[in-house]
Amino acid sequence: LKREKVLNNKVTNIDKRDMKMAYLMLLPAVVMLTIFVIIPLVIAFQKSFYDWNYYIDSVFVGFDNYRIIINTVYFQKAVINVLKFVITIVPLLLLLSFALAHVLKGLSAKMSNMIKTAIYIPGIISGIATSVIFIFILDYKGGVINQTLMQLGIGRIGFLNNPFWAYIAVILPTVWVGLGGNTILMYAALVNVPPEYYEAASVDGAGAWKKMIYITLPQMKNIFVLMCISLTAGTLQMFDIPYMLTGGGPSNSTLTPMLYLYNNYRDASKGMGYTIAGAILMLIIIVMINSVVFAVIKSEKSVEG
Amino acid sequence: MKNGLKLINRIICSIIAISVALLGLFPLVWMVLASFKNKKEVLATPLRIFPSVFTMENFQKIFDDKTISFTRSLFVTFFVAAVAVFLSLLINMMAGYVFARMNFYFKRFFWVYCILSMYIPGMTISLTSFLVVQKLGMLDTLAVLILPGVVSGYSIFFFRQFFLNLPSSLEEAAMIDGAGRIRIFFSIFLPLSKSPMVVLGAGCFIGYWNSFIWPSMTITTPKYMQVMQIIRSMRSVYATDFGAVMAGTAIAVIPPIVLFFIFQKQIVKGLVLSGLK
Repeated sequence: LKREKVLNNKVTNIDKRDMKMAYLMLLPAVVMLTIFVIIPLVIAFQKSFYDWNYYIDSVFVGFDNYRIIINTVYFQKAVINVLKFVITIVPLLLLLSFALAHVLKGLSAKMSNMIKTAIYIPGIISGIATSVIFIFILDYKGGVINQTLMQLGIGRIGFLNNPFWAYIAVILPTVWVGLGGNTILMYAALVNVPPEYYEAASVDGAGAWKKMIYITLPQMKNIFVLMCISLTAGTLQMFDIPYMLTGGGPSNSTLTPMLYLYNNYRDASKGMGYTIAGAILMLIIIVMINSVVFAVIKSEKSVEG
Repeated sequence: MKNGLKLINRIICSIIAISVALLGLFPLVWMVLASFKNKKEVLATPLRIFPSVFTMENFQKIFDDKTISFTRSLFVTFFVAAVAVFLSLLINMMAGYVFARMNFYFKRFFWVYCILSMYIPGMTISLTSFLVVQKLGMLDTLAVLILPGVVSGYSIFFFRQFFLNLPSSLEEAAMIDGAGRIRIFFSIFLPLSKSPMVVLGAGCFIGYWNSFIWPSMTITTPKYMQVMQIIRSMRSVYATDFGAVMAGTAIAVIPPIVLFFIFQKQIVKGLVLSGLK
């Protein structure tokens, strides 16, 4: 409510005096956004209608680039792959962080803070470093996982040579990186549920299961929706772990759209027009998903009155 | 009876939580151990958990290797990140302040203009930002590493939120005394905003330190190579010499982790705030 008011306030005479100052203080941010975000965005839209690369001149082709990118087998494969990642990683992280938040709630405050710190550390490490660490851990011969499997008499797994295992190999570090932050969010939402609700339910003789379905889940609906959206948007943009860990392979089984676009862009012989068109398509999808967040927040506000 | 159940519950939760935490830290511990193992022990069968002797040869190797300029990349990346943090805090804080405490024409338009960047995927922007910086002759400069990521819609949003919650009496008294906006900003609001500065500054530093896509597109000279680019090339240069690769990676992850430990409380609080807003 407060936010709306500030944005809609009528400009008064007093404001007019230091309006110049307002524009001046806003100037650096606006100039830099214009150069590094808005102009590139405009160029991207424009360039997506031209056939061009570093060697050939631009030719206007209308929507041809969009037709080409949609019909490119690799791009299609990348989109399917990333959707597979979304439908595994998003529920996995939601479930694990939800469960772990309950575990944290059962601990003493000191202990739960220590655990939170420990699980959050992977979240601040770069995707490149994470991937290098997992390349080592998943190594066929000397990797700790395969060595342990050997000792257990199970036999080695070629994590990076087989499409299915490569898929698992990408999910593993992604979950490792994401678990901490999401658990902290879940925990914050979980301890926000008023304890009186549970007490009242206990008096009525409700069991743990009933409390979960009638109190916890409805109370945490919003955080689930918001996390689901941001995790989906994030996973759709997956890049550095597949780039570094599997290189998109084997046989493109872990190729993601962003990785495909990046590789294409770095290959000067490839057409740039349809690459940019692909980037625009991804932009549209991600902005659409993100805008659901606004709808959720708005509906929440209107309920609050 | 009830207390007994509670105790059992706490013990079970502790066991699960500790196992998850250990499992989570294992990859990092394993990396550190490997960095101290010699070439044979890193990949030895059967598995060696601890090195027989803690050797420094991996660290020597990566720091002595003239082809990868690791030391230089650490300094350059640190410099880039530090300058970026300074600029980013200053510029975003000013913008956040203006949106929270001042009135002017087209405010809503500028607001949308500023926070739009929060929702645009980085890769889409990177591809054509490259064309812009190429036109501007900025390839292979420090400026191309620092400037494009400085303004962030998220930071502006966060600062604005913070300034909105401060009492309006703050400016009123100063204005009656005849202080200008700039003075009010620097002498009253800036000193008050330590906590958002810590959260966003740490986040900005970690982001710059970890960045890879943008440097890999714009920097080809070894002079300005960023740490993650070097880690990437170490992986190809040393291939299965994992001791050396792990030594480099272990050093590369230290700054974010140290920063996290110093500002842990504020960072976690900031994360929760941003997630629940």
